[in-house]
Formats: sequence, C-alpha cells, structure tokens
Amino acid sequence: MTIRTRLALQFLLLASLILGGAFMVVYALSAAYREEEFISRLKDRGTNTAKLLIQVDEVDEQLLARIEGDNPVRLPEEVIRIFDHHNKQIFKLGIAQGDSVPPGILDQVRLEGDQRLEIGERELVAFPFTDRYDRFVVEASGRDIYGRSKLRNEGRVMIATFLIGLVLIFLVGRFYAQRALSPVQRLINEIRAISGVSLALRVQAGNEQDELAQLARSFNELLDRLEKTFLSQKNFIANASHEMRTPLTSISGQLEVLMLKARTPEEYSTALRSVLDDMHALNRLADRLLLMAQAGSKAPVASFVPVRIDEVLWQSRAEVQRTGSAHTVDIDLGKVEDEADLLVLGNENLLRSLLTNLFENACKYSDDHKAMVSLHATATEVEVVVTDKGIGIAPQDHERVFEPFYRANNTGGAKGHGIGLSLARRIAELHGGRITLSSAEGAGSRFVAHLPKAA
Amino acid sequence: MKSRNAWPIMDWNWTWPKEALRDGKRIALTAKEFGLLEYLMRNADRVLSRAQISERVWDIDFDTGTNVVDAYIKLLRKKVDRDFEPKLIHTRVGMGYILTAAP
Repeated sequence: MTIRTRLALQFLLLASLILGGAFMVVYALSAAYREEEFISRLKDRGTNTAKLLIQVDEVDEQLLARIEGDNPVRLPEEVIRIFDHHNKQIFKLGIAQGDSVPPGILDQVRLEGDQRLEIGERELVAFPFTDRYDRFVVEASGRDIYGRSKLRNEGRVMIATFLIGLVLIFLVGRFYAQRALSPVQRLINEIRAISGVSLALRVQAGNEQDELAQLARSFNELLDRLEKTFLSQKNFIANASHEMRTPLTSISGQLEVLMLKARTPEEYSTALRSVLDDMHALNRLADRLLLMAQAGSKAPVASFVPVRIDEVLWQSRAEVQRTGSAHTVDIDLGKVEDEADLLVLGNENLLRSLLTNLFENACKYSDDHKAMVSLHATATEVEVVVTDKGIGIAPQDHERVFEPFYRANNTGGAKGHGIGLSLARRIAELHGGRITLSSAEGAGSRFVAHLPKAA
Repeated sequence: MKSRNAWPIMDWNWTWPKEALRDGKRIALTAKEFGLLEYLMRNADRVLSRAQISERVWDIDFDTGTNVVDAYIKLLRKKVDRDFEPKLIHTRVGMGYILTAAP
C-alpha cells in the first residue's frame, strides 16, 4: 500500500469517527428532547383535564368529554384517564387501544410520584393529582406522530450526509495526500535518473526548509561524497597505471636497444643491472600501491598490537639508508623515560611504511640527504618529528602534497611517484593519529606524525 | 639470555621478540634493547664508551651528539635492574657504562 492511500484511509477513518460521533450525539439529544417535550405536553393535558373535572363544579364527565372531544390542542391518539383513591376509573377521554393500564402502576404513582412508560409507539405518563378531598391519579398517553417522524427524518438526513461526507473526505484526502507527497514522487524520479555514469546530477532541494528539502540536501551531500570517492578512485587507477608504465617503458626500451646487435659481456651486465634497478623500482611501487589499498580499508585495525615505535624507527632508518646510499637518518630519542612512552597500538608493517616514507621524503628533497628524527611523548600521543634542510614546500601545497600522485612543482629531478606522503597520512589516520606539516619553500620541512599511545 | 626465535611460531612476539632471564624472571626485550644488553654482557666488567656502544649497537656515529645510548641505558635499567639486586649496569662519569656485579 502506498503512503498516499494509507494517508487517505487514515484521514477517512479519523474524519468518519468524528463525524459519526457528532451525528450520534445530535441524534440522541434530539430524541431525548422530543420525548421530554411530548411527556410534558401529555402532562399538561392531563393536569388541565383533571382540573376541569375535579375543581370546576359545573363540569361533569359528559360535559368534559364533549368539551375535550373537540379541543384542537388534543394530541394524536390521546387517551386521558383519571382514577380515584380506590383506583377506580372516574373519567376517560379517547379510545385506548388495549385498554389495560399496567397493573400496579397506580400504586407506584402514589408511592413514588410520576411514572413514565412506553408501549409500542405510545408514550404514557401517570402522575398524582391532589385536591382538598381526594388523591387522584391522572394517566395520559398518546402517540407523538409528528415528533417521531421529524426525528426519523433527521436521522435519515444525518445518515445520508454521513455517507456523502465519507466519499468526499476520501476523495479530498487522496487529493491532499497526493499533493503533499508529490515532491517525494519527484524526488524518486530524479534519484532514479542518477546512476554510476551520471553521478554529477543532483536532486532539486528547492528553497523550502521542510523535511523533504532537508532530505534532498542530505541526499545531495551523500552524492557529493560518492562522486568525490568515485573520481579519486578513477584518478588513482589512471595515475597508478601511468606510474607503472614509466619503468616498464624504460625496461623494454633498454632491452630493445640491447638486442640491436651483439654486445660485450660488460655491456650486458651494465644493461641488466639498470633493468634490475627499474624492476626494483617497479616492485617498490607495487608494494606501496598494495599498502595504500590496505591502508584505505579498515581491515588491519582488528589486528593491531602494541608496537615499540623506536624499534620501527630503527628498522625504517636501516631501510632508508640501504635504498639510498647517500641517505642518513639521525635519531634523537629526546626525553623518553619509560617504555610506555614508546608503545603505539598498530600494525608494525604499516607503521614502518609510514616512517620510511617520511624519512625517504626528507632525504630525497634535501641536498645533504639527511633526515633529523626526534621522538617526543605527550600524555596521550607519541610524536615522531622528521625535519630536513631541504627544498621545502610552498604553503599552498601543504594540503595537496598529501593527495595521491600529487607532486609539487619544485620537486625537480628527484624520482618519485607522489605516493609516499598520502600513504603516510592514510596510515596515521588508520592508527587514529595524524600528520602535520610546517614548511616554507627553501627553508626545509618539518613533518610530525602524531600517534596515539597504546593503553 | 636467549632469543625467542627458537620458540614455536605461535609464541612469536613482534614487539618484544627477545627475552632475558634474571633470577628466574623473564624480561621481555626489543631487538635493540637485547643488542645493547648482549654487547654489555659480552664485555662485562669492562667500561664501554658511548661512542663504542652507539657504533656497535646502532651503527651510528657518536659525533652526531645523539642521546640514543643514554635513553636505551635508562630503558634497560628499568627492566633489568629496577626490581633486582644487585644493580648490574653502572655509569662511569665521563667514560661510559659498565656491566658488573662488583662496581
């Protein structure tokens, strides 16, 4: 069932309950009023008749019957009977159908006062009437033909109004539900048009501040993020394959040249060594791309263990000094007092990759190929500070150097893929930490890896 | 003192791959702490200068003014000497460090 139909039906149910309830109350009140009014008229008639008969000496039964027989205020099928204290009928006006007065009613009147009865469509009221000499009981009954037909008519009108009202309410309810939900329908249609290839499309939020506009805006924000991720993924693949191609082209080029003619063993070995270098570079690139993909997912977090960051520091230092023979990494342990200042919850391989990348970066982009590393501990974090006296990074590039495959303009001839820093940042974030950078062009750089302490 | 490498692979501990035994108590050590302790023990009762230690254990020139040796001696003392008697690692002011049971 669509929300539209459901809304219309709920609206219908509510409205019919209210309308029906109101009609029933009105009908019940009218019915009670009709009865009350008729009884009081019966009683007036009974009292008048009794007064004439009993208090006016000139009037006897025959005269009264004649007078009253033509009285225009007589009620339809009116019967008035008067009984004396022996319960003997002393007067009767009108023809009673089924002449019987319910037994015991006269005594009941004498004991408890007014009594009312309804016999079929006839209403009957019996009440005591007392004068100086005697205690009489007057019984008046009649049929409220007009009142009842009026009431019936009223009921019929109400039922008809109610039924027509229901139909109208349902139609109007459906119309309003449709109107209220039409933005949702529009939203659905717009969202259906958006797919992987048309991620740039957005739904219209309109100027309104209502819930649907908020929904549309949230949806657009979601699309923004999706599109960004989608794009960066696309760029990543494009850049990665480009980076792979460079060493591959170099390898095939060298081999082709080598095969042009017969070479001396020395030439072969030189060329092969150069090819091997390219292969190593390719290998490292593949490793880092793999690490990057790993660091991008949350999977390694589960296998985090306490890691002594100083051990990682030494391993990274050895790695950097091995790959670049001119590279040196100076390590200063600062004021580390306790083992707890050195423990980081993490993955050793990822942390090593983080530090190696920072060290390599510092060595690669400085003339003295030297990275100065110091370790500090705050109450909650371990900070690895990597400083160099290199070419520095212009302020406008501070954020962009952490983007994959981005390389600043001043990198010059230094080899690189633009992966290291983005990988380092991802690893730091994976460990709940961050990397900060302060640098100016030509004045060296200072990278600080902030990593939360274990426990 | 032994390397944990000989132990079954399940027991391998990346953070503290080595351990020392003193008075029957196991002391977990990192590779560098182990290296430092090993060097001190192999040269027991001999004063070793900071330059010697840093070159042998860390492969660094002491000229760089590094404080690595002092930092690791501090860490090692906490593990090896703090809860035990007699103290084994001693400072020789102006000369270096010595590991000896009879200072």
